[in-house]
Amino acid sequence: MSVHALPRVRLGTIALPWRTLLLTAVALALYLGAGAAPELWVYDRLAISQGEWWRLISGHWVHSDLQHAVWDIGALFLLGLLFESRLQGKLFSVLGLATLGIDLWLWRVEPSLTYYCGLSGILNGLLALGLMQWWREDRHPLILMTGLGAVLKIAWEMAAGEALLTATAWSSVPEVHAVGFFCGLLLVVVVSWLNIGIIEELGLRSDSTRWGRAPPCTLK
Amino acid sequence: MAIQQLMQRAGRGLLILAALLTTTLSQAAGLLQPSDGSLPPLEIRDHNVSVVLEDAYAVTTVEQVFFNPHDRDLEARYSFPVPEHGSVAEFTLWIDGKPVTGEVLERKEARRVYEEEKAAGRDAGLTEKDEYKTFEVQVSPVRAGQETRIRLVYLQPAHVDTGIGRYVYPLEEGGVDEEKLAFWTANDRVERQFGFNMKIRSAYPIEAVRMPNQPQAQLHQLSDGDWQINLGNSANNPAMGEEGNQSQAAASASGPAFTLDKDLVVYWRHKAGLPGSVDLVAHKPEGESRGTFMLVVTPGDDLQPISGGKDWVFVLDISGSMQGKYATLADGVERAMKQMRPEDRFRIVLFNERTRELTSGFVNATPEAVAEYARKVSAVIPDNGTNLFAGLEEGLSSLDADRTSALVLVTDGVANVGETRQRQFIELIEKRDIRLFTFIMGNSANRPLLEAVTKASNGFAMNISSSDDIVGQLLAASSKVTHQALHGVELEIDGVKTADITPQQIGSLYRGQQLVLFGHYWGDGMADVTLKGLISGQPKSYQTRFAFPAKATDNPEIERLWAYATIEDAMAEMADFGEKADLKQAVTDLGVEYGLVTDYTSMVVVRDEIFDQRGIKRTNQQRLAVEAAARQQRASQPAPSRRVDTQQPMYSSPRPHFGGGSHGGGALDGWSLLLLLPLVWLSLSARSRKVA
Repeated sequence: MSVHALPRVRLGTIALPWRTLLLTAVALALYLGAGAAPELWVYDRLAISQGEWWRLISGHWVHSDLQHAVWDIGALFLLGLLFESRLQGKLFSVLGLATLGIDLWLWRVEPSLTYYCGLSGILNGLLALGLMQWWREDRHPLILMTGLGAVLKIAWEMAAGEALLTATAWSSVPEVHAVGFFCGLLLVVVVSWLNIGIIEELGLRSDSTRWGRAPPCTLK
Repeated sequence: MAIQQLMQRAGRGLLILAALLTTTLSQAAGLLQPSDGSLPPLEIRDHNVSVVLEDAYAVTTVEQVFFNPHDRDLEARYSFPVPEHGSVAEFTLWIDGKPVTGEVLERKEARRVYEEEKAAGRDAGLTEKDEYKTFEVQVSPVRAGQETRIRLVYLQPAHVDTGIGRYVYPLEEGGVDEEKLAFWTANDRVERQFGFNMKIRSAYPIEAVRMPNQPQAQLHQLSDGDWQINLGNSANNPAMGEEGNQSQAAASASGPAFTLDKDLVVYWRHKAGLPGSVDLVAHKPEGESRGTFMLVVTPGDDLQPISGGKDWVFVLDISGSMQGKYATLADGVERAMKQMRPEDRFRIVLFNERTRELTSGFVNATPEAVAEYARKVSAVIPDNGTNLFAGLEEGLSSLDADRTSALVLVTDGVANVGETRQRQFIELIEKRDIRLFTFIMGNSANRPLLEAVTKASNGFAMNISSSDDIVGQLLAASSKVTHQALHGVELEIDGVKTADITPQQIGSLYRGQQLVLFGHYWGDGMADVTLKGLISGQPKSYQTRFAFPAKATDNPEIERLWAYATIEDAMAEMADFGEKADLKQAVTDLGVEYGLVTDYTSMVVVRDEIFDQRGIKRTNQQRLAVEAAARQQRASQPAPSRRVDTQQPMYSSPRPHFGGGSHGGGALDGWSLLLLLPLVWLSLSARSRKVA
């Protein structure tokens, strides 16, 4: 349940973060049902080249071991709670764009990476977009600091070649965090520039906010 | 990251293992002296090793100085383990301050010459091979109060497996030859100067180099593919400098400079993403119609993971000779069992003189069962002889025909009880449809027997040293077991006449394995090369096209590498079907012609004038001069690329690789969540304000 939505429930309003709950349930079900690094679902370069295109999507939703799954699915849940009410339909859009961006990067820039799995890359896209959206609503320094912290963390990981704390069965690929984060920022920039009606019609416009400076959230 | 954790655990495990090993009897390379003390001991003053690894083979040069502190002349007898697929190609003894290189003769003849020279009181040396176990060097006399200097050089192919190369300087003896152990004691102390200096020169970029258990080793990257490794207090070690001289002085005052009781292992890791490739190293002097080639095929990563539950049978050697290695074995087996999936099952069979099953039939590989049986395996105390045949027979019994089965054999490989004939082993394994994965412990294992039996099952064999990174070796093995393999591999070369290809039967290629072939060719020009085999019963072939050179003189060592590989083929055939006069003669002829120490040939050094008097041709001396000139020439240039399939690559996918990204996972971590805490606080406090 969204931190943002807690009072709604308390006040009797039904405003469950259903997108977050749905996505979290999917990721959990995949781990519990298919296990760690399921052969049919991971990003497998050779299999993709032989036509198993679904791996380009499913690879992001399966995990290499329990620790990997716990961190990533936990982060998905928390980020969803924080940002869903602000992003609404854009939550799916940013995850989709980050999926595309990371797949392109893996395919074109990392031909040696034969297998990949995990949510964290696309979650960094969600983090970037969510922070930008929040910043537009409320210019609180903590949001800026969080954004800077996220950028520094990604930079550190890339310099060190590994994630800070995790020790998952498959070695970490910090570059995907950067690519995912970039995709989130790209979505902000592109939509801000284009800001055309068709994009909003496609669900990229939230009900409560626009890409411009929006008024702070209010309780219904 | 998980690998790092494993490494840390392995590090702890190795520390424990090191502690265990120090409590066991030291069995090592060194100067042998009778155990009854009938002869006074000599000293090893200096021991300097220089290794140059380039173009897929290593040249190891060992220079030693022996010292006789006594008042009478003595004979030195130095023993060291046979390196993997390596043969002594040079034995030089300094006589009157001048190096004199040895010549290879038929074994009995070489021994006779040496004994006669020794009896005459003249300087002489002899290097013999004791089957698969050791090379024995004898030098007489080491004069009272004086030093004697020798040099040994051996050649061996250098394999890279799953992007990781491995070189072992073997020192630790297996302790499997009980008669020898009862009679001789090895003095493994180097008193004054020790150096291990290795140069790795590769046209393929090398990301990292490791020397496990040698934290003082200096590792320097000179360029993308060139590394220099230095260890010890030798003057050859540029990292030592003044400090080195001080520690040298300290070494003699406080204890040995080094003890030759542990293998030195070097790993190098190629850059990830290198293409599958075909490399050709050839030797064909101008004007010669026949050339020699070494073809190295490094497959791309197109072998798929295997799904479905498997039955694993662990057949473990618990004989007395395993005492120093058993902790490594138990640790390795535990780690291997932890790699199994819940749908797998396992059995554990232990053997020494007797055979018993630790499990009662197959056990499901649950974490609890794995933990329980790992404890039971580590509690076993090895003793008695080795009835390897009975152990294998028991392991092969009670297999479930409906499930895929694999047998993991871990042994130091000396079958000395019960059936010991290789043919019987092969017939036993061929009766069953099961792959044998053999882990050969130590340097004195009967490697030829184990490799032949394993090959007959289409499995693979890996050598494990106590100094190895066990986890790394296990990762390499598990990656093979969990992926498809190319079986019944054949290589066809059309367009250029070739012959004398070795190995005659290639067998299987598992994930990460390279194929190394030697042979002769005639003429030159373009050739169509096809590698074919079966993957899961389906035919698969790979093609390329490249030129065999009309002239190539950079790598004359290829001739000797071909000769030794051919000798190994012949020896395997004799081990299988019994000694045959024609094969024995062929091995002898090859040994003499190419200057190699084999089971039937030895290298003898006498004074220059004695060579002349006895009419011994100096063919090896001439060959060594050609090889030395070529090495010097190579050293002055950057390592050239030997890849020949650049125009028409044999593989479309890159090589399999550990670390550096062959498997990648995006992973968030605690820091990411910590970063979000301010946002949670902000969100909650905003909410509170609104509610208020």
